[in-house]
Amino acid sequence: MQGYLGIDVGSVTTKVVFLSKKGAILWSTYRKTMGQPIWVLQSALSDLYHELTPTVLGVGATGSGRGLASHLIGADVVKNEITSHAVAAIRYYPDVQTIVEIGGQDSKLILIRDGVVIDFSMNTVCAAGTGSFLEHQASRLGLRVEELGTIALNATSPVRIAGRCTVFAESDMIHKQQMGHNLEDIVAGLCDALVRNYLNNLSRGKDLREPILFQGGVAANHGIKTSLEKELKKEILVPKYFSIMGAIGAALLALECEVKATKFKGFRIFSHHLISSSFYCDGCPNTCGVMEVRDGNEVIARWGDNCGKWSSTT
Amino acid sequence: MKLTVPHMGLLSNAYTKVLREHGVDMCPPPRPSINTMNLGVRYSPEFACLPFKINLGNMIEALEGGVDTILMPGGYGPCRFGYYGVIQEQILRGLGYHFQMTRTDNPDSLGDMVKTIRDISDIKSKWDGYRVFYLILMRMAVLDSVEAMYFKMKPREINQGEAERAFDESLKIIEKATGYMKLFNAYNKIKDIFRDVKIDRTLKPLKVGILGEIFVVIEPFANMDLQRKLARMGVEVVRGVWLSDWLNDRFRFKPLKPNQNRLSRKWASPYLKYPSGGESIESVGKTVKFYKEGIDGIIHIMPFTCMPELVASTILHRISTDLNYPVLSLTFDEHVSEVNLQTRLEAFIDLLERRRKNRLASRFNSQ
Repeated sequence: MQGYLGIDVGSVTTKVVFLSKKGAILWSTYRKTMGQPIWVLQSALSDLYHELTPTVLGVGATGSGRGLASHLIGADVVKNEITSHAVAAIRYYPDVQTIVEIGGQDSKLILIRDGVVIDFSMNTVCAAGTGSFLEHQASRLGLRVEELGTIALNATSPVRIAGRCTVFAESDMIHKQQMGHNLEDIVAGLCDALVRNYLNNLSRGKDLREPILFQGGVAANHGIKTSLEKELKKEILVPKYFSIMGAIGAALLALECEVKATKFKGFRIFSHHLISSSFYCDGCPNTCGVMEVRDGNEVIARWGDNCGKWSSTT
Repeated sequence: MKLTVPHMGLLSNAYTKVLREHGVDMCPPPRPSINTMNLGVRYSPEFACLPFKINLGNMIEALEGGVDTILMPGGYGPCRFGYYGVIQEQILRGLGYHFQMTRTDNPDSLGDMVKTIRDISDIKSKWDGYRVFYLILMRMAVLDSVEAMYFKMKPREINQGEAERAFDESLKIIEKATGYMKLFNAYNKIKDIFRDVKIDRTLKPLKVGILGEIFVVIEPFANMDLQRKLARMGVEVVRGVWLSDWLNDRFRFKPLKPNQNRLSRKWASPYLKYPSGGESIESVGKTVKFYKEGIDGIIHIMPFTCMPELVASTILHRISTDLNYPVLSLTFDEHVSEVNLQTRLEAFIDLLERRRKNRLASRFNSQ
């Protein structure tokens, strides 16, 4: 079976998809990174290999761990998340104008006109509007993050929670709990706060036109979707593959660029014992942080230095 | 007396060499590094901007290296920066350092600048003071031109690393040149060096205009080497802010270069009629200018808590919508993550590339 591999190594989850030569999804996985991107990637590839035994024609990598992924398994295209998400969205919804993407650690807003990204913004200093925050709050309320959405939908009068900052939001939530508000209203209030935070930080007067797509792991949460619709007074679409759109985009980019000979290092990588480490080079005042991946005792990749002193040695 | 000038791009290089020729014991601080940042952040008020922190850190490093006099150019300055020299002096005294601080009180006044130079060196006559000050300015202009040539050549070079080598070699040549004549010769030699860099003339790289607060634009450490990052991504950087241009607006040493500030006011006039401090008028005016010149997009950079550029960035947003022109605003401080920056830059460059492709396609279809 021939096709293209798309890898999205995010801060919280890792997504791998395998697309056919025509771009249909043959295989996909969505799993927690758990701070061990290498191990998760290896296990995902191992599963893919044992289920499909595919022939890889090209590899696209994206997500905050794209550099690591590309060095580990050999990627033909290494693209940022914004482009990848846009490419995947345009594939399924050619007339899409706005993409709301909320992931584990960052949130993005992408504006598209005539199938081209014309503007984007990304959260800078605060992670209040993201999945990690939701997950944290869910566990504090003794819930699973997956349950939040359904609970929020049952709210009758959502409480108002200060959403400017995660710390304040949390103390405000505790306060509301102690006042005796019920769980549904608090969870719905939390969704509203997250949406307000997102729009305040990212949209800033931008023209959000329909159709609006909602992608990324947080799109699983219907409460957030409803809050977004309420706040924007517009319809929000959640694509079928919302959680793996980044990986799909990366694979599509690999497909698009018509790779002649892929740099893919093969599936045997999953059986190797790979260790990553880092150090600061003291060769000059730049003190670049250098990343290093070793297979047993052999250094297989180094990157992160400006001058090429380390990256050229492998 | 051991004198130092804190780094701001290549400014310290210009001062150090010329004053050393005139009997001043110059001791340049180390290039800003993580160490500089850590020192600066530790002893600065939290809401002071990045230039203040890097400056202060650099001064501490210099004082630790045995310096006893600091020259702080800037005077009353274009923004809060004007008070920085005074506050930095107090902080440093509070830390127990013993030193002299020389500030140029009025950076717009030639007399003041020359007086400062005569105060710290053994130059006696006024005429010599002018001569030396203009030599510093000329040096600054030549140093800036090296960077401009690098930005032009880097995205077009055929052999990777050749432009960088030309850049390093040029700095060495300038370092050796003393006096006006030798500086002029050095300038010609540098042009030859860059002419020898093999370039692909068929290439039409994306052009990105860099505008914003002057310190963050010209000090690579403050902007995480943004401009070289772009150059390495194959983008031609067109910088709108140069220290030598800023100086030229005041002291008229580049006869062929018109007053940038005055021109910027003209360009900016539909959006901003009065200068609102810092380089805000340049940022607004040159965005309009770059748009007309066909530069593909603008990256506007500023330190966190920078008031003048915040004003500009709000206006740039408006210009961007009006003209349908991509503008990316970035703020820098000690908390900026390099990964985040890289993602933004890549996405912005992708955006520009796809826009250009579409524009070409639509032009082709309409024919």
